Amino acid sequence: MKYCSTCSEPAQNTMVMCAQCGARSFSDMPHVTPASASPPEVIDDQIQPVNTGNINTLPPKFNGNASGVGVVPEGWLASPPTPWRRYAARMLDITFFGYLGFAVIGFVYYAVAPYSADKFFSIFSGPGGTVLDLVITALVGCVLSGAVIGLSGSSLGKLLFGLMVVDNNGNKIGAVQGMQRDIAVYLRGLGLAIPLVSLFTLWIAYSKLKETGSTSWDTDKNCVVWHRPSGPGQYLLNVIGIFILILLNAAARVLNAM
Amino acid sequence: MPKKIKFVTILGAAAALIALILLPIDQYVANNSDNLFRSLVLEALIYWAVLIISGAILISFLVDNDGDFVTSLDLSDLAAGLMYACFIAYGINLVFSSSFKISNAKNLKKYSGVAAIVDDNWVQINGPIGDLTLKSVNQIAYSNDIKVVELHSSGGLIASALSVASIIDRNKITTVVKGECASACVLIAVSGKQLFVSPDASFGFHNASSISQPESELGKYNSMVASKTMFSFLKKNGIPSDIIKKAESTPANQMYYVTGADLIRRGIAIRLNE
Repeated sequence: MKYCSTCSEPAQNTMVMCAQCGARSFSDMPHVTPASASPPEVIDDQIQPVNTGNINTLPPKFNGNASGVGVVPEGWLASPPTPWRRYAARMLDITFFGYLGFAVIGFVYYAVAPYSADKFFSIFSGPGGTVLDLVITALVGCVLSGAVIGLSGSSLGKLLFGLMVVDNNGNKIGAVQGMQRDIAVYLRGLGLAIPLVSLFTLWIAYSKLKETGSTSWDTDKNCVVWHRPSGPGQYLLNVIGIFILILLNAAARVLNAM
Repeated sequence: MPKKIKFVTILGAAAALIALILLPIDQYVANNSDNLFRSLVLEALIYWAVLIISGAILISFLVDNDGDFVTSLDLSDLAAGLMYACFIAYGINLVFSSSFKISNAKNLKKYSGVAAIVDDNWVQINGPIGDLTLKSVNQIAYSNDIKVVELHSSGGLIASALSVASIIDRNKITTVVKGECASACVLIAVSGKQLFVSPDASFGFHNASSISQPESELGKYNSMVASKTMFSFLKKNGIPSDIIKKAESTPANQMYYVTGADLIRRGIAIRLNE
């Protein structure tokens, strides 16, 4: 058990944010405030029912999922879905974690077996190398970002585009389930990142998300995606996220040209 | 509090290991003890000791009071896992490369090459090219005004040949080939201000081969890098791409020969009138 650093609300260890106030920092002990030090009878008078006004409940449209989704912390929304923000976050995560994963794999492979590593990486400069590069980078990116999302509820892309992946009770989904979820995204949503195939699978995923409020992989894994409301701050973060995505791709092109 | 300790431990361990990678302990010990084997073993032992100690401390954070592994991992565990995978790979590389360096140091003595002979401003390299060849050419170029380097060699070390080629290029020296000039020798020949050849001279091209552990991963990798360097140098110095293509497909234990007459015909060399 842990406690919210802001409002002292008790929380499960796996929770990513306070269900009461939405704060993300927790402590092992609740805050000791003058109010809590007051005599019990006074506290009893001050106790209020849980402020349901701070909790966003799902609209009737998503009643099918609503029983599983539970409560959404203040400042976050479960609906309507934000497919474009999710797509942009996914692209940024695939790029960032794909390159990071490849950097780690490359370092380890070259350190242990440099000749075999060189032979392996030369396949990306051969015929069909660009498509193979896309397919494998997306796979590595999905596995790594899945682990990060599972352990923290967020990732670089999701942090910038204001998204959070949790289970139906608002808990982190864990590394293994996070990776399983992202591999499902890789297969069903991105179509293995094969050009044209991915357009088709992305369109199906987009239609399902708009229609039902959830993607097939989230429904299967009992996951929900919360998002920040759109405001000037979030718009700025969206722009920064897209700028980082462009920078990463430009850096990769320069590196390939070398 | 334990999270903070864990975070500081991960950072401290990473800093210690990076410091060990950056500090040239082997060179320091080799300079002081003049024993390459001992210095490389010492470096590997220090590195692995720090790696295992810091790894053990981090694993202790993953064991709960019942002696079981904790199941609730967080981002720092993932980051530490990836980081340690890299450090372990580097540690493995350290062991393999130490063995390679020791083998290389022994073999370098075997491939020291011949010393260049000077006669006025005419230098002759007559035999294998190696460290001794480079040192002698360097010394001669320092004290003499060399005009011509005559080559007769079946090859040698690429690194030494490239250094000799650089001296020849810098001093605008002419090169002459009357007989065989193969493998690393060609690198020196093509770097001359002008290349004079007799029509019956023969130029040999092939892939490079590591002088140490040629069948090991590091040996194969070094051979590949040396071959790429050699072909790129030849291309830069005017050797046509069809010759380079044939050379690239010729293994290190075979030789693809081109005659002096062929090079003259292609305008790469000038006919030598004796």
